Amino acid sequence: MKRTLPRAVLGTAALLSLATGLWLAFTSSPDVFQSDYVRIMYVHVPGSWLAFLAFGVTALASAGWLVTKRMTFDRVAEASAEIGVLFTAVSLFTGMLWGYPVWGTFWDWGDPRMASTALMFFVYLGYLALRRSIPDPTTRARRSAILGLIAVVQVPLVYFSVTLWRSLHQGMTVRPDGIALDGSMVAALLVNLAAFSVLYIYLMVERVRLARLEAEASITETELAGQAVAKPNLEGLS
Amino acid sequence: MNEGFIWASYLVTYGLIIGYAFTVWNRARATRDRSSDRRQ
Repeated sequence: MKRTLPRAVLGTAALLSLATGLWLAFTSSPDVFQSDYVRIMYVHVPGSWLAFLAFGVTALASAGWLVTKRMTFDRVAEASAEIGVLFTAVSLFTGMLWGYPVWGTFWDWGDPRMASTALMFFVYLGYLALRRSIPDPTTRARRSAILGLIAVVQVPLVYFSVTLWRSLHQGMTVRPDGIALDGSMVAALLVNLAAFSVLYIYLMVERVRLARLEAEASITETELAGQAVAKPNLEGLS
Repeated sequence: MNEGFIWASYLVTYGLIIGYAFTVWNRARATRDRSSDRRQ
């Protein structure tokens, strides 16, 4: 009970904040140029933000594992990468669904933001595939930690791609000097950013817990297999 | 204006989130059940 209560509270907080975000997203003012299509931004921008946050956490946890060799860091890195891939998919899908009515195309490989985001998605899919291909936990943790540290270079590259190269994608909405929006749109965007952040924490707690449960189950299975080998039942054979 | 794009965005986003959360919950429950079966 003591362990499930904080998770339940966190889950409820995520649910309530997402519901508030949804309500604001559909009641805020339409944009002068994009009309109601601007509502897609309230899931697209938080999706991209979570992808960046998740891959950043993966890199930090990877560094943590390389320094301390504590498996908790490896589990955090895995969980965060998985959630990051999920939200990169959200960002890509919603971006395409926004792009067609507003820009006139679902996809343009010549656009640096779209191409770099797609590349980041496939690299982290590769990270998850690498993890599944290595059965030994220590080898898996070491190799994926190295990849996790290398792959994070893409995060600033994707973020600044709209300013570094000519892009079809609009400039940064959230900048150091402020937010390029006004009124109810800012409220809807900020509440959705906060709601997705709470959701990220909740999903992380659940996914890290799953990784711990699976690791414990794997140890139990190995012990049982070891007992079977160490103590074979030879009754009736002699 | 085609509202379908807006609805599709929200369906895809929340569909992926709910699908992922259910997968994690189910895997955790299955792992816990398997472990408790082995202990008995």
